[in-house]
Amino acid sequence: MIRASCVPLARLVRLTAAAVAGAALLGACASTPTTRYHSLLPAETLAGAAPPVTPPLPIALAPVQMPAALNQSPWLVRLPDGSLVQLEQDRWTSPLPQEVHAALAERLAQRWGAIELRGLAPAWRVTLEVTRFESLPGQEARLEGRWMLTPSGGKATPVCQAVLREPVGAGTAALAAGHQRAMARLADRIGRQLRAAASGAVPACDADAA
Amino acid sequence: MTEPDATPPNAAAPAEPAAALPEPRVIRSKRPRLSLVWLVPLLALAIGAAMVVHSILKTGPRIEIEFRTAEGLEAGKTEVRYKEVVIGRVQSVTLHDDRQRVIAVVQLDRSAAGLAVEDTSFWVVRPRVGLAGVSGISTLLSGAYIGVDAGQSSAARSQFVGLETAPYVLRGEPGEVFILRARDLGSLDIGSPIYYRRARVGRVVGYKLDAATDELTVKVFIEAPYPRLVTPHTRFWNASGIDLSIDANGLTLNTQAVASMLAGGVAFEQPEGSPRDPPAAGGSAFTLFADRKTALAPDFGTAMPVRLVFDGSLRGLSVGAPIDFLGQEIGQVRDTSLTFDAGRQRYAVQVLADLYPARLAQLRAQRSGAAASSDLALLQRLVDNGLRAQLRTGNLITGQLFIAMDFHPKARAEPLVVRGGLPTLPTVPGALLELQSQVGEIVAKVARVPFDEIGSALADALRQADSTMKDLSPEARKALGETQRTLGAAREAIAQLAPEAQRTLVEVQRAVTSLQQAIDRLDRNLLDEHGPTQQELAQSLAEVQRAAQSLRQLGDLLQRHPESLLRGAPADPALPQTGRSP
Repeated sequence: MIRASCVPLARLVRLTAAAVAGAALLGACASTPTTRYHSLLPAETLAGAAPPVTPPLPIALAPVQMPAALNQSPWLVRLPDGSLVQLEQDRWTSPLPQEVHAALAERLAQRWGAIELRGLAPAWRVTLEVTRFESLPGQEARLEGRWMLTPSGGKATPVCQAVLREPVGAGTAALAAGHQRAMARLADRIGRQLRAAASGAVPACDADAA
Repeated sequence: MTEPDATPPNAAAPAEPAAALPEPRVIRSKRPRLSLVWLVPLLALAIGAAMVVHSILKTGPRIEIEFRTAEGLEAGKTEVRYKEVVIGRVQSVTLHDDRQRVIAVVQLDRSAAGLAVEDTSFWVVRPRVGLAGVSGISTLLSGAYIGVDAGQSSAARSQFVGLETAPYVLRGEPGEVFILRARDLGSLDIGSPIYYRRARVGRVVGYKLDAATDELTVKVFIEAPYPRLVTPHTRFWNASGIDLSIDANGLTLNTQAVASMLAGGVAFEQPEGSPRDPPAAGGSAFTLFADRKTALAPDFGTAMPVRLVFDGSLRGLSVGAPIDFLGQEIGQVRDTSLTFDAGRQRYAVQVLADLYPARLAQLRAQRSGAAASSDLALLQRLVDNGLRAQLRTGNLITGQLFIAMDFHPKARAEPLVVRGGLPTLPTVPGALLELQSQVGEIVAKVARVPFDEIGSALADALRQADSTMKDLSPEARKALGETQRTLGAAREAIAQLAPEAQRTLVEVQRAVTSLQQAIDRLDRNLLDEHGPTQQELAQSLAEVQRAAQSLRQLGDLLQRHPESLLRGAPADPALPQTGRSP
């Protein structure tokens, strides 16, 4: 039965108007806010960087262990009431464990001359585990971690701990900068201990300094 | 002439008043009185007359059939069919005067006039379902009809008594009827199949229990062309159900076709060795045996009752157990009962059995002598030679016993006593009792062996051996020297083999080295950390990891904001600008 072969004109006009309006609405809603990317690798070398110590020390950097919730790129910030919120517009360029690993490797190589390269048999093995990586916007960036240095064919150093806090200003860019600074301090600590151990001194966990 | 104005003709003479109307001119037509339309009824009449004449010519005789009940019969509708051809119709159904029976008046066709004769049978075909078969199902739809079995006589008849069920053998059905005399019906019924070599060849068509003579006869019908398989020596037996027997021979299970298990059946066969006979005449009588074994059992001839007395328990000896002589069955146990042996003051079991001297026919012929004619004399001679009866186990599982007659030369001499017309055969104890006595004898013998003396004699012998050994020592030394020489020769042989062995070893070493090199290469290529394979593997794994992570994040995002598929990710809430200082 062909019944709707002739649709009334008024009805047709109404349909097209609705379709156009819908498309416009969708089009309007299609504009998403832009995503900002941050990295733990600072743009320019941070303060405190001295020329690298020679001779270069070959090391192996084990993959950084982090809490499972942080194994992602989007930012996880803590609100003043204690809850955590995941931001959609702020992301790390790579998942956080990889970022920490890259930042640590870069700082150790730049300042302390401890290089990790494939093909070099490592003299020391560095194992880092980050236990806390908190972003409190407008307040501070917290970094807590443990690490261990293992010489190839020798006894491992005792496990050392560090709790680092960096005050930050408002905004996510300031938070990222705060994290970068905290990371650099942690890398300096590890590098100092590494150089001390490499030169034969009995390595000990140095207290909160620098 | 032209008329410009159309004035009516009679307007020209309006002055004539009341002129006479013209007279009609009657034209009488020349057509006949009857019109063609009368042909129609005439034609109808002609056709009707033809039909009446035809139906009058078609009607055959009118007969009356008496039935017990008019169930299924409808006046004017129920047909009479012979071989599925309608040959008549029931016209009316009325009650008989004595109100015990019903009369159906049937109008047969002219073509079936020859059926109204003396020995024609009529019956009502209704659906019948039984174990023997299903028949007449079509009558459920078409209604019952009257079936006819045409007779062959020439005497006309118009009043018949209808049968309640179809006759089991239709006249003219090829085959033969035989009579079987049976002790009991078993599970036979009309329609039970008859089997020959498990093929159905006939059926039971009737049975009659004669109350006066206490005889049961079963009438069987063997269909053509099988009646020639029945000869005067054929044995029939009741093959219903399952024939299961546990006896001295063990467990035997016999069945015929499955149909016979349900519906009963009779089977027949020629016993082995029976002569080739011409087929039996129709109507011959046979005996119906209870099972195959009794049917095919060879004829043993007349039975001679004997008596046997056994000590001990006879549990396991059943009635019908065989009496066996050198493996041949020569008799059967008929009855067992207790008896008191006054002479020995103890209870014993008395067994009454039947012996068939005909089985010993060969013996009889061979041992012909003056008293050969008497079976008793034969038995006497056998008993004098040591023939005794003994109980033996036929089946260890069921514990069935049978009686074995055998010659026991060591048995006590006993005469054959005839008491009360029954010869009493002497018996010896069963095999188990014999075993017991034998074991007792062995134990007694072992007890008599002088173990102490044997022990001391053995000690003396050992001492003797010791001194002999010492004398033998120079001999022993010579033997040792021989052994040493043999060993030296062996060593030389081995030294000759050594270069060969060395060469083989070198080969083996080379093979091992190359294997080692291959493993090293493998190690370098695949397992080396810095090798290309490992690095590529690591890279691929990292890629896979990243892909998995992205998928996870996408999933999380969709979970939290499903509208992000259309609208994109939502804007973040505003973050606190400053907080409490730590």
